[in-house]
Amino acid sequence: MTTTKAPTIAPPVPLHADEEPHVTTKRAPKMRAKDISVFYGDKQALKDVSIEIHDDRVTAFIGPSGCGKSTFLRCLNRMNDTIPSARVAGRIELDGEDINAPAMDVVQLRARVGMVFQKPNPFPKSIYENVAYGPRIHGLTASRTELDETVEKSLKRAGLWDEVKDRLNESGTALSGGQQQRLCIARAIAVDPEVILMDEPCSALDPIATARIEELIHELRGRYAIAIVTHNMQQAARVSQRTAFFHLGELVEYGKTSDMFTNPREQRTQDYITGRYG
Amino acid sequence: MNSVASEAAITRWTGDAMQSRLRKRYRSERLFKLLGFAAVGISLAFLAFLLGTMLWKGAGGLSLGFLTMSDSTDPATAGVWGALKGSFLTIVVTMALAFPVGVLSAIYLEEFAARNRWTDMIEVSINNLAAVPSIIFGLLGLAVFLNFMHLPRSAPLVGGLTLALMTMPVIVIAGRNAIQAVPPSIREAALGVGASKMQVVFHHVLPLALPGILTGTIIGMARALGETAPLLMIGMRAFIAVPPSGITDPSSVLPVQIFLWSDEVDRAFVEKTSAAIIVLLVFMLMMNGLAIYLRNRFEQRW
Repeated sequence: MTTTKAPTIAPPVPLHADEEPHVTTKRAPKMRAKDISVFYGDKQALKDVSIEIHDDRVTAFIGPSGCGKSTFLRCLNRMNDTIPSARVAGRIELDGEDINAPAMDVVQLRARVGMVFQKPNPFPKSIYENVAYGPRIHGLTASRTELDETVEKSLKRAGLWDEVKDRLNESGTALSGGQQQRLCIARAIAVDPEVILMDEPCSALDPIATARIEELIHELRGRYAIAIVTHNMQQAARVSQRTAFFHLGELVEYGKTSDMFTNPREQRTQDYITGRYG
Repeated sequence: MNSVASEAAITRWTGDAMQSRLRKRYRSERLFKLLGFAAVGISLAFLAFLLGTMLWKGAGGLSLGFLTMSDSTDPATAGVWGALKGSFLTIVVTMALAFPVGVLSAIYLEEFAARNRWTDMIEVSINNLAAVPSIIFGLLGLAVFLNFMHLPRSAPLVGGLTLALMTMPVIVIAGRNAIQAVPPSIREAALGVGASKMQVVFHHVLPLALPGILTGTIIGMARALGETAPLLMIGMRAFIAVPPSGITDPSSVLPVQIFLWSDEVDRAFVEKTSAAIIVLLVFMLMMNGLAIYLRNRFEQRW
């Protein structure tokens, strides 16, 4: 296989893209998790995890399988509510508001904190309907033309518009895996969320589609706070400015991505990123 | 490594032992195909026998008069129209009641009810209910709808209510299975963009589960259409010469009509019985055909 013959591959993103052009003054974090523990029945999946997620930054969660990184991500939009045996302890704030408080509307929370899943899961409806669904149920658009515009804008922002603009009425499930995942990203950003959670969005995709999604994450950064779970360390290094390393339900280390990959504080982090386990 | 041991461990793919094992595998495969073919053949043979004898005996009894006249003591003027209309009205009542109640129960139990001892008990009860003999539903209908609620005897309304009780558990079970089969990823996707539970169910789960729910409903309805015993209990075995004009009029239904005619001493009723069976089969075929058509239409959304 040659790496030179692939015009669709995105230009390689500089490693440790740690510059933070949008952040000039220190601001309050978009989301703040404090001492989060999660239990599935009697089994503790997460132990006292505290992380802050900022606007204008991509935060990556890395760690071996079963370390709790996806569990933590699912706390941030209360997706764990759907698992009957799951119990979450601790405090998570969105703009200073406790998301587990009775006053917090979970439906609105999930609109503000959108999610992209590991396996592309478009609705078995047309491409148009997939993207239009969110704005429609939230009543975000006043007219059909406005909805059309939102769909077009979202698909453009997800980098899918040129590929699907002539077949918006075809089924979303007929697209390729990478296209489906970008459709899911378009669906998530169509409701104009404040935070986007991505749960291993590239694990089912080939390298070309992965590069496309990573490029997309770069473009979306600055407009949304992004948290991404990945077990691909190179991907974390490429796309994120902050990295959190999870191991056995604990947050081992959390800091600037560049520091994590060049000069980790913890021995366990060092061992993981150099491939000694995981 | 010991060369002798590694040599001995090599699989001899072309050896005699392997060849005979392969032949044995092909033999059992052929045997299985043959058994399957025989099994299908047996059911087909019975169906062909039924259709053949019915057509041979009953074709002479089929005429426009047979389809437009109602029951009579004189075989020359006895027809199936009253029973056909009664069957139609009964099945409409059953459908109107059993389908919405069954589907709503299935949705509630699958999507909204908490998983605890109560829902476990309800689940066991519903499964039991689906296996209760139909004659017992007839007794229940007699006790509740006639003796307690004083609804009109022999009416399609009461017949439909009774059959609805019988059909509901079948629809609930089929509905729950169909809802369970909807991939969780679709639910998560909808929840992830901020859909409420109701929206998840009605926009995504139900459309995907509908083909499965309809399949269960078809089976339940076909069973209800051919049911005789519970209707005997609520008085639908009476001799009724005037076709019903509404769901509260006294009426008969096709299977009961067949049962009554098969009991007649007059030889001429043998032909009538066979002809009525043909009409019932055609009615069922049409209903199933319609249901399968509807199911396929909804299935294309996937």
